[in-house]
Amino acid sequence: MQKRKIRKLSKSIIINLIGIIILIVILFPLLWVAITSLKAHDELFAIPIKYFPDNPTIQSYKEIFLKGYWSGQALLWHRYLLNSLFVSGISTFIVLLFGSMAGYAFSRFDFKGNKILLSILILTRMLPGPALMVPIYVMISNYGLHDTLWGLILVYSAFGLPLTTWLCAGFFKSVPKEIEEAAIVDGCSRIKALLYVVLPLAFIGIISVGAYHFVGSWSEFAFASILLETQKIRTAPVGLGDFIFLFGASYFNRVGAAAVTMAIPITVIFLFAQRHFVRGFLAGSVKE
Amino acid sequence: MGKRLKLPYIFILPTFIVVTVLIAYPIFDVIRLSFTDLFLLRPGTGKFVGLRTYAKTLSDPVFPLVLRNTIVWMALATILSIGFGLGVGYYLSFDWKINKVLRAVILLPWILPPVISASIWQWMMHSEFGVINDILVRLRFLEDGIAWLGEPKLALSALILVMVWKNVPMLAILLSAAFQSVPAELLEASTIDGATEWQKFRFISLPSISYTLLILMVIVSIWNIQQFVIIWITTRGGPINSTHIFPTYIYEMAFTNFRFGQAAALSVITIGILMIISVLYLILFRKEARS
Repeated sequence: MQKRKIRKLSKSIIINLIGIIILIVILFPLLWVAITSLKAHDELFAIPIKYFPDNPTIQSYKEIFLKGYWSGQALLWHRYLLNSLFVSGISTFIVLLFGSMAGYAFSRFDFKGNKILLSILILTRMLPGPALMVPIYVMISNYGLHDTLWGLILVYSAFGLPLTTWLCAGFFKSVPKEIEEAAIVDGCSRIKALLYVVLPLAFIGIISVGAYHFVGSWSEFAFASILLETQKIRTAPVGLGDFIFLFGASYFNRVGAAAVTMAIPITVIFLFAQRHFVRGFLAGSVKE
Repeated sequence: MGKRLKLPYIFILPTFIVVTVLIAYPIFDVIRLSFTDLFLLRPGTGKFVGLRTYAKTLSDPVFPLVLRNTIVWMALATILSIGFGLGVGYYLSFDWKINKVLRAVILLPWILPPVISASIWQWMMHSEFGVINDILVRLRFLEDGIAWLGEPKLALSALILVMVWKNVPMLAILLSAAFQSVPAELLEASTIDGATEWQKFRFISLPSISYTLLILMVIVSIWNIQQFVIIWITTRGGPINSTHIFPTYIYEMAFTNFRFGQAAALSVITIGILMIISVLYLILFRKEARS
């Protein structure tokens, strides 16, 4: 009896130990950047390393938001965040509008080319983004959209639409056709039935697709870095990249402050929509 | 009747216009550009030169290095991600208390912008003030700190570990769901027959999820060959080109050197590699489906 108890106990210790190791590996880097952002400049270079700052300070946050100068260049972090909000917001609106329209058509109408068109759409997600940087740069420049936020919004929308359409089609399919038909029989037009009956039922799904796209646009670096030149209109990922280049290790607390403020909105969205993210991701990558 | 038939086409029209203009057309344009000598700093370039741009790109002494790096990056990052993903996913598939906590936070590395992950790891791997060296020296694994990202021999391996850290959470979540769908009766029967935990994993759980595993390998390979930010932010392909893979090399060729023709040729080669991988996996799928 005693032996079995000991064995059970040691098993549970080993299991929890493994779990804690996984937890540390996952979370430590994130905690570390938050801790570093609260350090004063001279504490960054303390040897041995200080795992907890003696005097936690939000100095670095003030420096990137308010005073904000570095060798004659304004830092404008709040501006970068607002630009990101604008780009991600508008492109999320576009993909939701167009994507849910297309998704509705694919899920409700048996028109010619239905299946093939949807397959083509989802195939575009296999393309490596970096391989399209050159032609997209050329095209955006030709249209005179280089160095504008609108060019970037267009690119994000184009890359987001296939998945959004695909997922919206799935959500609309899950709304029983009979409900919609009943509304039409009751004298609703097709469009009215869509707006007042079907959309509210598919709403949560559609919002989570929007959240997914928003997070993706908020994070995107490569296209933002080539399509935007003027400092004032840069987005947060590019701004953070600049900070890393400007400050390097010597002011990592500022890089950390920028990283933390940029991560907060995403973490909040993620906490609310986590379940949908996994499901959306599955549907988007694994063809059913 | 006619109106009803047109409605679906009107509904999908905006999506198809945007996708055609911004994704489908660029695929053809990148092929066209790869046959030109477009060099943004020299006016008058951009004419058709046949295969000369490809010849120039392939004979560049850096090209074999980039090809080698890309293969190493793809192979190692994929194998390690899947390996750790299997382990963590199997762990997560059990009904333990600690797994509630783990599940709640594990996806954070995956969801965070890669530019943030890159900045964190660059700071943690700093040769003098980095926390990784500090821990390793304290635990007496090392005598002195190492410049993880400064050594040409080490940098790519260090970045592969960052990529694995980013990939594993999503894989673990998906694989744990797959493990949980393994029929409980099978596992119980094997317990009665006296199977050890390892035998249960190896001969029952693992074979039951082989299809999911193959799909995930395709997906992870695609994640890996598309990765640009983690490398570009931390090392810009250096030191001495030791961490350049195709995406970073394309970016540098186009937007640092402004040699658009060559960058387009590299893009076409990248798409080609991706297609070869997809075909390889398709063949594997077929075999899997038959057996």
